[in-house]
Amino acid sequence: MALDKAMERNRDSERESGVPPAGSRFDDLLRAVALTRDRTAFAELFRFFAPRVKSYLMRLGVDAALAEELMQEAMIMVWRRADSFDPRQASVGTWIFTIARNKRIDALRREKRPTPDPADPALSGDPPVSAEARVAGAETERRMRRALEQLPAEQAELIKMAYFDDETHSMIAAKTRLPLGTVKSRLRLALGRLRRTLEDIV
Amino acid sequence: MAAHHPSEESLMAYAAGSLSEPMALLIATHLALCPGCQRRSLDYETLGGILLANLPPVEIAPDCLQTVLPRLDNEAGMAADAEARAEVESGPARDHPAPDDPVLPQPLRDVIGGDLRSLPWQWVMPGLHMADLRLGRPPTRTRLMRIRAGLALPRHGHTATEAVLVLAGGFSDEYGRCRRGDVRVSDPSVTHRQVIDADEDCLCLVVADGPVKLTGILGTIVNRLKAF
Ligand SMILES: [Zn+2]
Repeated sequence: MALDKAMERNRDSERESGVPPAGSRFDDLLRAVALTRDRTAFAELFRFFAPRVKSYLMRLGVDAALAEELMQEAMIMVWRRADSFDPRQASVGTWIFTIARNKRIDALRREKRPTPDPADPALSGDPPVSAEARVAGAETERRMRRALEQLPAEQAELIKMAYFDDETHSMIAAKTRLPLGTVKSRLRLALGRLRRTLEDIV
Repeated sequence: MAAHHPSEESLMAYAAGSLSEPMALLIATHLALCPGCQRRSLDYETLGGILLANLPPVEIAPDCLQTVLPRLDNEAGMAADAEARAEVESGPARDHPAPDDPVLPQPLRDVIGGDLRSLPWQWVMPGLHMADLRLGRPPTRTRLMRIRAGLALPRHGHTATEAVLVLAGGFSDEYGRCRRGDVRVSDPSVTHRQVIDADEDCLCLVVADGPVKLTGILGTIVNRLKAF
């Protein structure tokens, strides 16, 4: 019930901010792919995500030909892994993003990205974040969108730039003509504010 | 429960996939020990999904969907994928069996295997051994460090950024106490003198972009020892 309300709000906030359709429609399409191997639904997901996945890869410095290849591999994986998508854990956009991200890392390293395994016997202390304890993916996404909207424009812009930059942030420094130290401290402030805003949103 | 965590910037870079391999390993290992940071890094994955959807689409090959559709249920691809999936679920096959060493979280075991004794340990000074994990590009070095319980390390500074993740035991210095799961990042402005906890040997993962700088009379002696 609460989830339906959350999705309703999600759709509302999308209309307000004019962002691309997200949330339940993508959920429905991916569910159709998982349950009935629906190629029309896949084609619709493809039309939206394929050009953006390629855009993401090129932004991180992958050349156009390789970006096209990795994007195709990522989208094929969306088809094959559709049944493992769990809307409680992530939104469709986030899930596809992590697939594309890992494709790029695999291509760079030709080995697996280190990721924590929840069933790991070496884990101690608090149990890892369980699926039940997480808020639904669509809800997490709604809160993050809200938090971004509430940030001052230049802080939101900096975070967007930094997200697709490498960890040295020298590209941003060149673009904004700010000293590297200033870029780093501004980014730290912006992320601190994003974190506090996120925690205040209910 | 860890008390010292990686910065928000590095959690974001980890989620974005832009960290160097050694730092990605250090962060992934911390996440395995820290549910709070695991949750925060998932927030940054959500951010990645939102930003992906907002990216300006670029041109893709006009027949792209037509080339992809026949590949969807391609048998060879499906088989390879099922294999990769089984590997993800059960862990990759290992040359040497991985005993359930509770010290090494899985991201680290994936890189070095389960047996600490099989690593190329090198003596550095009495009570201190290091093993190079051969990960990352120079000048960055990724090492495990094992230090004897109760040992006081010589005061030293850093020539470049150094990140330390404690895997077992702990240490104290001017900046506080670090135990299992804690991350400490030192930049060149930091000099410190670490004292290892008395009750247990300390095992750390260390990612350094440059060597340490030894200061004081003890440092001189260690430098001399290292020259042999
Ligand atoms: Zn943490």
